[in-house]
Formats: sequence, C-alpha cells, structure tokens
Amino acid sequence: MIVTCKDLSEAVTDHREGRLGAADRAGWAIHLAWCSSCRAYVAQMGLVIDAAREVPCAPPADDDRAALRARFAERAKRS
Amino acid sequence: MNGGEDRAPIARADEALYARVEDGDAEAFDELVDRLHGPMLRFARSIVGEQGAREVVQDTWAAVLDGLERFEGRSSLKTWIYRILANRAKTWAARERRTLPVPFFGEGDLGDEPAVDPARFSRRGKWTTPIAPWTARTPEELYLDREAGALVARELENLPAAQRAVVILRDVEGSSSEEVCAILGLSEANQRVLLHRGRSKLRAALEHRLARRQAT
Repeated sequence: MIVTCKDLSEAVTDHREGRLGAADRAGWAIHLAWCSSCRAYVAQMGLVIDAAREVPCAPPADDDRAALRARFAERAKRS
Repeated sequence: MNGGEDRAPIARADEALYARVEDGDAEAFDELVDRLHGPMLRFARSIVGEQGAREVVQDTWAAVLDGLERFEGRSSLKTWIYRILANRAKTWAARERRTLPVPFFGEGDLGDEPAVDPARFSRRGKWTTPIAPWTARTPEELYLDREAGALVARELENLPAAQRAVVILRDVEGSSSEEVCAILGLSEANQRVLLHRGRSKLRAALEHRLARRQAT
C-alpha cells in the first residue's frame, strides 16, 4: 500500500501505466491530497515526458540518403 | 495517452507506404528513410554506442530491403524494422565480442538499483527536502526557448544504455509498451522498471539544472 513519499516515488510509472491495484490507487490519492512535495514530483515526471517528446532528431545525412537510394535502385533492378 | 485511439489511421498509412515501397517506388522509400533513418541511428547508438551504430543501421536497411516481402503487417513497419535493428545490434555485439551492456532478449537481470537516490528520503520515507515546484516561469522559459527537448536530449546521454533505449522508444518516439517489449525482447515488467528508472533520473537531472539556473 502506498503510504510514504518514497512509496509514491516508486509507483509513479506504475500509476501512469495503469498498473496499480485498487488499494495502491487509494493510497496514492490519499497521499497526494496532503503532500505538496509529491504533487510537485508527479507533475515534474509529467513535464519530463512532455520534454522528451520535444527531443529533436537530425535528418539523414546526404551521403546516407544517396547510399540508401542506390541500394534501393539495385533492389528494383534485381526484381 | 498514445496508442489505442489513433492506431487505425496510422496502420493504414503504414500499409500504403509499405505497398509503394514494395512496388519499387523510390519516393516512398525516401519518405521511409526520412522518417526512420535518424531515429534508427539514435536508437542504435543507445544500445551499441557511436562506433557500431552506423554499421548496425546499414545492416538493418540491407536486411529490410532484402526481407521486404516478408513484412506481414502484424506490427507497424517501424516496429518490424526496429526489431531487425535490435537483432543486428545483437549480432554486431557478438561479432565484436562485446556484451551488450543491456538486459535485452531475456539476458541478464535488472538488478536492484533504486530509481531515486535513497538519501532523498528520511528513514520514515518522507522527502528530506521538500520538492519545490518548477515555478510557473521555468517551464515557460524552457518551452519558449525550445530548451526542454535539448535539455532532455543532453541528459539522456548520461543514462545507462538500457534505460536510455527504453526512454527513447517510449517517450521520445512514442512507441507503445507492447512495441518496446517486442523490439527489445523485454517483459512488460522489466520494460516498466527501465522506463521508471530512466524517467526518475531525467527528472533528477533536470531538477539539478533548474536549481543551478535559478540560483544565478
């Protein structure tokens, strides 16, 4: 059962994934009702995930694109 | 919540793209490369490091092109390609006589590492220092400066490889937990443990950076 801040910090991902049983969900709600630190912690875990969505990715290098196009053309020729 | 609701439109677009690529449509293949090559390199780097990543990704594209007819649409195109990539990474590691420092494909266990530094808690399990909300200004600062993504990108590099791989797939790229388990040969529970540890560490790293910034 989720009672302490430590318990809650361990359960954050399970909660988000919908993996907590009824008792733990109740403990979660009760604890968050009085603990502002844990409310902040949960919010911050959410912000981390939001930020992760913004991680940029470099587009393919021109060399790579060209090499892959060539490979693809090869395959088309073979079939 | 990702996954469920928008699965049908994504699957249909995937099918269409696959059909065009299979047919020899070079533009369609370009589109696939544009979409996946960068992320594939990033994912490969997360499991085999910089040195092996290019080779593993090259091998993967070769295998994809060779095996294109074998794609049955039971998973998304991306999941199918990433599974090939993960297997290529495994082969590469074996060839280079390295152990993948990651507990994938049922090898190795996750150990007992705590997700949050135990020193943060009193003996009764309470936060020793209260968690201060990242102020209303700070998230704005981050998003207005478009720094949020860059910050996480930087801190991702400091995560252990297995945690980094799972966070990249789940949170950066938005794959479902089923897809990640299929790609990495992980149980649902293990995937969740790695995700939890990775996110917890990222939060701690961001907290540290923000504290430094607010102090200046």
